[in-house]
Amino acid sequence: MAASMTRAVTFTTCHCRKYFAANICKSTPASWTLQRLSSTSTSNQESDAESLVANYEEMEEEERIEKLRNISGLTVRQNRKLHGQPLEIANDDHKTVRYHRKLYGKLGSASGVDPRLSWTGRKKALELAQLYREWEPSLEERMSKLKMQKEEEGKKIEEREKRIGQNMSKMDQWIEEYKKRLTQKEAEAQKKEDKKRKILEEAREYFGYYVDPRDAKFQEMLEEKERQDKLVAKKQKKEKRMEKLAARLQHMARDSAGDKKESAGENKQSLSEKKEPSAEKEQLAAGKSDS
Amino acid sequence: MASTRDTAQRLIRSLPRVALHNIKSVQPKTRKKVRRSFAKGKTHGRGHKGQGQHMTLPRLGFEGGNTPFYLMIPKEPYYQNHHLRRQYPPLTMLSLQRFIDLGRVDTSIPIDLTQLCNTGLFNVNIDRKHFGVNLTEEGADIFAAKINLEVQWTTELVIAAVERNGGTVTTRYYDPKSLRALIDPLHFFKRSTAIPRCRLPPQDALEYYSSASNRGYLAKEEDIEVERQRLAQKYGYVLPDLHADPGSTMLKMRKDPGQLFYGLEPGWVVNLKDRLVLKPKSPEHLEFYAS
Repeated sequence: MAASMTRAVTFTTCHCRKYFAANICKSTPASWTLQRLSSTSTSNQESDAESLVANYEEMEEEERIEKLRNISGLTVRQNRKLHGQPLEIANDDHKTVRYHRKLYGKLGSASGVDPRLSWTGRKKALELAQLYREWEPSLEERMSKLKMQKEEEGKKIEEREKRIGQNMSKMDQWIEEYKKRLTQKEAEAQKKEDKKRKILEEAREYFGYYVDPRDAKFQEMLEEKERQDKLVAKKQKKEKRMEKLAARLQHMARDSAGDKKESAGENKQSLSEKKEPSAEKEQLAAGKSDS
Repeated sequence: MASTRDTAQRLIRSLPRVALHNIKSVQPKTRKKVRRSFAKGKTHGRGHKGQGQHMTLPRLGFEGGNTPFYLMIPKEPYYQNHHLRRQYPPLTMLSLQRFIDLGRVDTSIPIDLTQLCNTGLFNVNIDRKHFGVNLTEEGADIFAAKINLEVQWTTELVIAAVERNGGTVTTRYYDPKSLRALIDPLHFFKRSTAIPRCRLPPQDALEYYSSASNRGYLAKEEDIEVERQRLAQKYGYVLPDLHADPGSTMLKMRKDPGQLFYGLEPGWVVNLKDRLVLKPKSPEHLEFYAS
């Protein structure tokens, strides 16, 4: 817009309400004329009263002629709309600020609307400014926040990459371990299988044919075998214990019999029979017996 | 006896010319309607009894009391926050070139969203969460216009295509309230409201609009100059000298981050009827429109 078109408006008060007092805007041209008339009458002297009345009569006559001339069939409202004149206030919507703003925007100063209505009130403006200050951080603050966010993200990525690098260095070892585990598992499974086959073979020898492992006979055989095994194990254990006891008794007897008549070789033999000790222990025992 | 060809020719001669009144669309639309006439019998094709008759069929996807499929598997992550996402309706460079060639946009003044919307060939719907234009790459290779372009979203190739021709690009964010004024200024000025101050972009868009490589309006001028040179090197063209250009003042025109229209500041009211620009003077309003 050119500077010549720009005109500043000074503000004194500005109220923003949905409905505002009628004194802010002069809505109808009829009231305008009346106002103008009243203002002129106060300015003029009483001597001019006659001319004023004549003027008024003239205006009435004009109005009458205009009425006759107007054959458009339009309503008053439609006629005003057509000629760009402000409309009468017909409903509550016409009392709103929004409507008056629209009127001013459409008809300009001819609408008789105070252009100050185009802005929100001072109080509201102050409130809004305060709200923006509270709720909208400045550009610098937000940029610093953005920078921080990016840094944090970068750090996260870096950490992840580092972790991946570390893990990748250990990867070969882990793969080896995994393979080892796998072979071990396989070996175990194989062992189990072998054992099962062995039992089945035994069962075949016992029965003379391949038995179904779910068969009751087979189960009985298994139980029997288990019992036998247990008995054997028990017997072995007992024998072992007896042997141990005998050796100990022998040893004690020999000890009590006297230190003089003792052959190192015998002692050594008994010790080795008892429980195969390590070479060092043997030597120690030999040393003891020597002394 | 006449040949088939002769018969066909005669027939064609006797037929009227193809015109708008005797052609029809390839697939005429068919509308299905429940006919309530006697001709359609007593039930009008909806049968006796039940939901079909009463038009109370269960809603789409209803499984008779089971949890419907669409609730059982509610995983559509690509729709997450769709109601908050900013939309930028696309416009190709080809269309922009066409607008320029047809004189629908004026290249002697900066091209912004207002100019694009004023073509009547591009529209922004704020209610559909549109936040401005996304200038896409199609037709970038044949683009040949020197313009000062302001768009809301674009890509590197588009920027290169404009700058190769000696033009300038700015990516600029407008909040919805400002957009409403921008896409139809005539409508906005007729409402006689003060021009709002444009808010800063939201945090997730801040990076884009503050980046010099995107020619963001919040980026520093020096950084943009560096990026211009870098892009010229990348795409292999000689960057025309902006300062030596006779239209350099127009090409270098930029709006303030809070400004919506060239030559108009936030807080001003434009009255087109009186050809007036009204400026507030009260400190409250000055503070409000500066914040």
